[in-house]
Amino acid sequence: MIVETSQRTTSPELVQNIVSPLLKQPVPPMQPAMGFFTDTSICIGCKACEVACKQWNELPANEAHWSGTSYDNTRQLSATTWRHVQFIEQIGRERPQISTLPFFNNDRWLMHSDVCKHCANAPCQEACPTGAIIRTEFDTVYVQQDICNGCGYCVVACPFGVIARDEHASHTARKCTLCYDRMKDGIEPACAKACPTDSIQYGEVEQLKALARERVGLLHERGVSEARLYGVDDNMLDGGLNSFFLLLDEPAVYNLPQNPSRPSNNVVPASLWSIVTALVLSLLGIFFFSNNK
Amino acid sequence: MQQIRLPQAIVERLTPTQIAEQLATLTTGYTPDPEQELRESTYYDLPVLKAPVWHWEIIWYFFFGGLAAGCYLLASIAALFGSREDRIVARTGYYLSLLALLPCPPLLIKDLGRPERFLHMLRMFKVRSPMSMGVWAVMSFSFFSGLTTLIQAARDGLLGHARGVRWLALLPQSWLALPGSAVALLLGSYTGVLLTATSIPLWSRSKLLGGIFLTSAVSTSIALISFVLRLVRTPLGTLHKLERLEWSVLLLEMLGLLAFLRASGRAARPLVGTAPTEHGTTFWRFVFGTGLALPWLLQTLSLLTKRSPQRRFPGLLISLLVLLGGYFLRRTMVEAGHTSSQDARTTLWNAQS
Amino acid sequence: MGSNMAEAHPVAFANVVKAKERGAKVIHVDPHYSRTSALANLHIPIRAGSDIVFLGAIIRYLLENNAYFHDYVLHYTNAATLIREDYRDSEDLDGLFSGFDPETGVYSDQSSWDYQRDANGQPLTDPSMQHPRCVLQILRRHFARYTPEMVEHVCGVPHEQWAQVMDTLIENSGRERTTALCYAVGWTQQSKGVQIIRAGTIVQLLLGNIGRPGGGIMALRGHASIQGSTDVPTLYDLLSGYMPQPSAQLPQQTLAQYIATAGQKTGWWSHLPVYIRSLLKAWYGKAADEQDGNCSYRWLPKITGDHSHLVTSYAMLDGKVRGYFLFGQNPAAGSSSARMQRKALEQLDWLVVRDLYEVESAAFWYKGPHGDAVDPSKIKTEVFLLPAAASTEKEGSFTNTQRVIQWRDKAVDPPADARSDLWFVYHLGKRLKELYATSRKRQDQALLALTWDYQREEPETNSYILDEPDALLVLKEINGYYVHPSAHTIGRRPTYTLRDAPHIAGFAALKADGSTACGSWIYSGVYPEPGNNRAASRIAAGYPPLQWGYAWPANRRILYNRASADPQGRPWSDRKKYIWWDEQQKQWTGYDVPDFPLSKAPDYIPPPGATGMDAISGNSPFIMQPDGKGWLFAPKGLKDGPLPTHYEAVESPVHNAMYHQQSNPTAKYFKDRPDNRLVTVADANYPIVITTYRLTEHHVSGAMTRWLPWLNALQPTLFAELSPELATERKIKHGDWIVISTPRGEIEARAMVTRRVRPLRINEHVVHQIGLPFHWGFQGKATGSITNDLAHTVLEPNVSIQEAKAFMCNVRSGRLA
Repeated sequence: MIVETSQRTTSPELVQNIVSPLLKQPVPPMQPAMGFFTDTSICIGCKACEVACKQWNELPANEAHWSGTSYDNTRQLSATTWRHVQFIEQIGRERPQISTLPFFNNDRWLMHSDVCKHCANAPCQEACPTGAIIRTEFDTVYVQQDICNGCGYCVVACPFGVIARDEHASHTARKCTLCYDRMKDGIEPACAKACPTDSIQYGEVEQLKALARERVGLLHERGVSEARLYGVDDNMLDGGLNSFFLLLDEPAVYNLPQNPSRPSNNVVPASLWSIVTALVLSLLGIFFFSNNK
Repeated sequence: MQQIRLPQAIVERLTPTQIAEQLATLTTGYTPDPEQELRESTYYDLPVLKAPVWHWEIIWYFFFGGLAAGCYLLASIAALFGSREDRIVARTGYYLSLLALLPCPPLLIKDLGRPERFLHMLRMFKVRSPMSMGVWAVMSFSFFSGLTTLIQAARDGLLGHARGVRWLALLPQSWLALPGSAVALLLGSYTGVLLTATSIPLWSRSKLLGGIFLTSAVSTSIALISFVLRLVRTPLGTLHKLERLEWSVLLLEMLGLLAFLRASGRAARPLVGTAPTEHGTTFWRFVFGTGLALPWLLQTLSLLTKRSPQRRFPGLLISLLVLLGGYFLRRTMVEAGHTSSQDARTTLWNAQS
Repeated sequence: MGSNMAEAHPVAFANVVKAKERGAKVIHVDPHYSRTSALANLHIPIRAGSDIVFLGAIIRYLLENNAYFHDYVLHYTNAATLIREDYRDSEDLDGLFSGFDPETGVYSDQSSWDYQRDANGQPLTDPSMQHPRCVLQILRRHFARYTPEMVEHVCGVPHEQWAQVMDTLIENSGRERTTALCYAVGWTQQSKGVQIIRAGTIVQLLLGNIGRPGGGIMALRGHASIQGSTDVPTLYDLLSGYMPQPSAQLPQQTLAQYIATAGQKTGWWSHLPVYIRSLLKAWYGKAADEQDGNCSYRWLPKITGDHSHLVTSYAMLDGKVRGYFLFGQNPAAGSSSARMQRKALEQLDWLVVRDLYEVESAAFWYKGPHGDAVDPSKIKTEVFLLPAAASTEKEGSFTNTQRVIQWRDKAVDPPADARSDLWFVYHLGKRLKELYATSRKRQDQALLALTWDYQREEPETNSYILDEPDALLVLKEINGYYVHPSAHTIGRRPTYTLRDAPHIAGFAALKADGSTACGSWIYSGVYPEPGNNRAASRIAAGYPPLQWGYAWPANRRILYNRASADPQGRPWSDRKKYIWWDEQQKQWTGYDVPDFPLSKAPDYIPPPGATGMDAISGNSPFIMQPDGKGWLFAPKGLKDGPLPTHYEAVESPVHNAMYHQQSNPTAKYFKDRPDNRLVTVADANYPIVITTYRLTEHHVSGAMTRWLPWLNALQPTLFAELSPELATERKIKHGDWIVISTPRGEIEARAMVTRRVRPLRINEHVVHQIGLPFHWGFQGKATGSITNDLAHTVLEPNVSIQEAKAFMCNVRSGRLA
């Protein structure tokens, strides 16, 4: 039974609601960095992750719309879709002449469960002017829904098109929380739990990265030369991703930028150019105004 | 038949779209190659990035914020370095600056997803986040602009003659002008830096947008001040100074934009290209054409012919054109940013190492 | 083959992925490139309906090249057994076997298929396997025409691809390695489905892959616990534990007659008397105490013919069925010839639908597909829609594909008036018993005698449902219990009731004297003592994990596992060690529960005239068969022949290249039905092969899934997958609406033009195939055409399953008006 609680905000509560976001809360003790390793080589495209995520996080369904983009009718991550399984049909590729059975069909149907990358240097977090986006004690990137005022800067900062503003309900920026609530209770995120083949693995980032490197090595041994890791190395956004991927083709095939730049790195050069311009403009002004001829 | 076709082909080549397309190719240094672009991998051409959630509010904010900053800057320069006659520029500038500032906060707040939480912006002072810096710039600029204008008003006797007002009038306005101008420069440029510090290829590739926005802030402000001054009796020398300044700032702005286009290359296509989703036609017509090149030419003409600056019409026209161009610069830049965010191929190209 | 395992069984497929990681090779042979194919090492597109040619060629290759597992085949199969001289093969009769009666379309005399036997009835064998009448030689001749060239011509599979499968199979079978074969309704939903499985069985027996770890034939069942629903059956022709339902058409009027006709003298089924008496005790309690068990046996309903689903639908259409219960079934959208199904439902007086939502079968009386108007005033059927509890809202068990019974606790109360099926049936039974309580009529006595006491001692805590019956009491009855302290007290007090009776520890303890009761002998042992429900056990450790649930029978994880040891009782190899004969202990031992009499030595040879299990020698692992051997050749039990033979699907683009017999001669065609018009061979009006399948995102007719917005967003619309070549030919663009038509009906779908579907070259002609999921209907939040409106009703002769995986259609661009 759901008990309807009709709440009338009393004035002390109102004051508290206004003041509390401005106060700093005690910081929980740091934990090992946690993340996802999404291994597309064993994804069966069942979309259980999408549904488990929606169910646990109480996210509304997308509009039911047949897209025709293979079996992907979700099409993109959004404010209310935090896992998204892509389907890439690669049928009729050139067939290499090998006598043994390949590890994968030559005709491929790539499936990939996309999710927030929880970047070590997260552009959304760097852009956020309110401090709503924080790094949790698990080194994940989390949007505090009671702080965010929906300015939308994180939306254009994210180089992966992950974070989005919910235009229908909360009007705040939303994205994968890595199931922060579950993590706090020591249980794995809903998507990883639901994944039947463990294509989505959850764990300590360092261990997962070691696992990922081992896995890609194994696949190379088995002749899957196209297998590669995405976001494991530190050069991605100056620190790597805490949620990273094993891909079976170049990142662009999955709409992943190969080497995105970190928007905050643009602040200094852009500011320098602005200062130069400011100087030129000021000098011009001074020149013309002080010249009384 | 052949003979008829040939001239027609030439006419076709000279349609405005064709011209815009040629200009786009020329300025960006990138000739679109549809076949090559089709060979690039994407995921069903779905956008890699999310579209900006900013619309008309932000365009007007960029425009008015620029005017507020530019007017304050010009007013301060005029006050500090100008002649006695030029004080009218300072006066007009400070008043216009505050006037232009007034719509900014409501526009900014309306643009938020949760406007009632606009105060949350003040929780942080974050150097890496241009928006955070911008918020503080707007806040402190409001202080400077407000106080400076208040002093101005007190001196001009607009506030009556109470004792408090007289004290106010005695405050050293020029002491405020220097830090105020610094904040004004921040306000005028941070919007461009803010757009640069995103993942949108058009905005971020060249790193020049802050300078361009600042230049445009000044050029539109000169236009606005000149416009107002032309309507009232103004010393010719002062107007002439403004004309020469306008001429050089417009030139700087055009050079800046050309540098921006060249540095952005393919990423600038949404701004200057002529495909249905691209904004080249508007850009070339209203930003670069009638917004910069035309007023600059008119200004050149009027400076060369040394016609009396007293003649109002050409001056007013130039100002209006520059103001319109400044508005369209921001509008096309924001809207083309939307287009840029939806172009998966260019986004992926932009993110190659 | 014939299975889209990754999509229809994603959780089970996780194990396939794991096995592949450990080096297993996964080959997917299927008309349609699915998510299963994507994960496989190799996908082979095959023309729907041609499986027996593909498998037959493998059998032929194994035999011709002596590539079969010789010792296994010789000792554990009936390869050496001699078949009667009067047997005629399909080779001799152009696609028919001896004993066929063209008048009735059945094999009315199957005696010629039998073994040659000695005076004691023991089969004659030739251990050299050279005798022309021995099974191996018959097999060799039978499959001689199933050549790789035929595979190319009939299946559309190039020789190299077939050879790659062949090589992989041989490499991965034998002493050191085993291969598993998985199939699902892609095989069974064909007019010769059982024979395709038979062909798979022959392949696996020849390769020595049955009864061994990593081997076997996995029947991937279509729904959760559909295995359970055949074990404790909802099937018309079975009693629980695979005992046949008594038939009025056989001499089965008394229990003794039933045992004589349904049981066997040798092999495990010689225990039939024990199991049937225990079942009668479980059902009829004290009333089954009589000495011969005849009185209660007479109460068992006798079948009078084929009462399977689709046959019953036709009976309904003819007005011969007055009332109908649907428990979570949705024939109006989910059954073959769905249009006919809806018409049939209109002929009922009353219909009870128990489901989670108002499914198509509960709404047919006022609504039709594509917004068709239905006039309720013209339909007499009174429909009762009763809300059911979902699986999480009730207690009970699931039995999975691997026969593992897994108990499920109830998580939450069902909402409002929704109740479990157990609640419904229990209270319905109680009310019926009250209604007939005073009746003295003979036909009512069965109902009155029925044991029906499943009331909870106390209502469940924290539940608002106070009268939910006790599922554990039902499990106890299924497990079995002692009715009397001993055989001497039969007929006297005290007798135990279901509640206080001691549990049976396993089916070995069951008796034929009426002292034990057991609801399903194969499940016996699942609940061996109070407080020990082994189905609820969840310990994953161990190889095999014997404490994860409970696998019937006797918690065996691999059936016939005696075959994992060689004839002398030693493991075939160290790598594949599983069950073996312990010479010291003089008994069978190993990792699993041995599926063999524990102390029967490998060298045991039955004395002449032995009966029961004594007639099974120490090297005959297949103890359910009267001869203890795996049947390469089925001397009895099948209605369409002792060996698999390729027949074209009833609707086919080509003539049968193997025989003049075009399609299965014994299938039930319903040719006289106007709503079952069939496409003739190579009919240019319907030139395209159509197959149907499931998507991960929905379940069958979508009765449960199309009401969930999350799932609807994942797959919102019916689509048809077709090749770019066909699309070009028919001027269809990707994403267009298209109309798919068969003589039974027309539906519309979005065109998914994809290279995953490929045209095949069959006999120098290009044959196009299209594929459709069948999850949509006119109810629910996402609606669409009913794919089953296209299918025909031609039934496989043994199990009466429709042919939904291969029929003919046409497509055109556009929408239905």
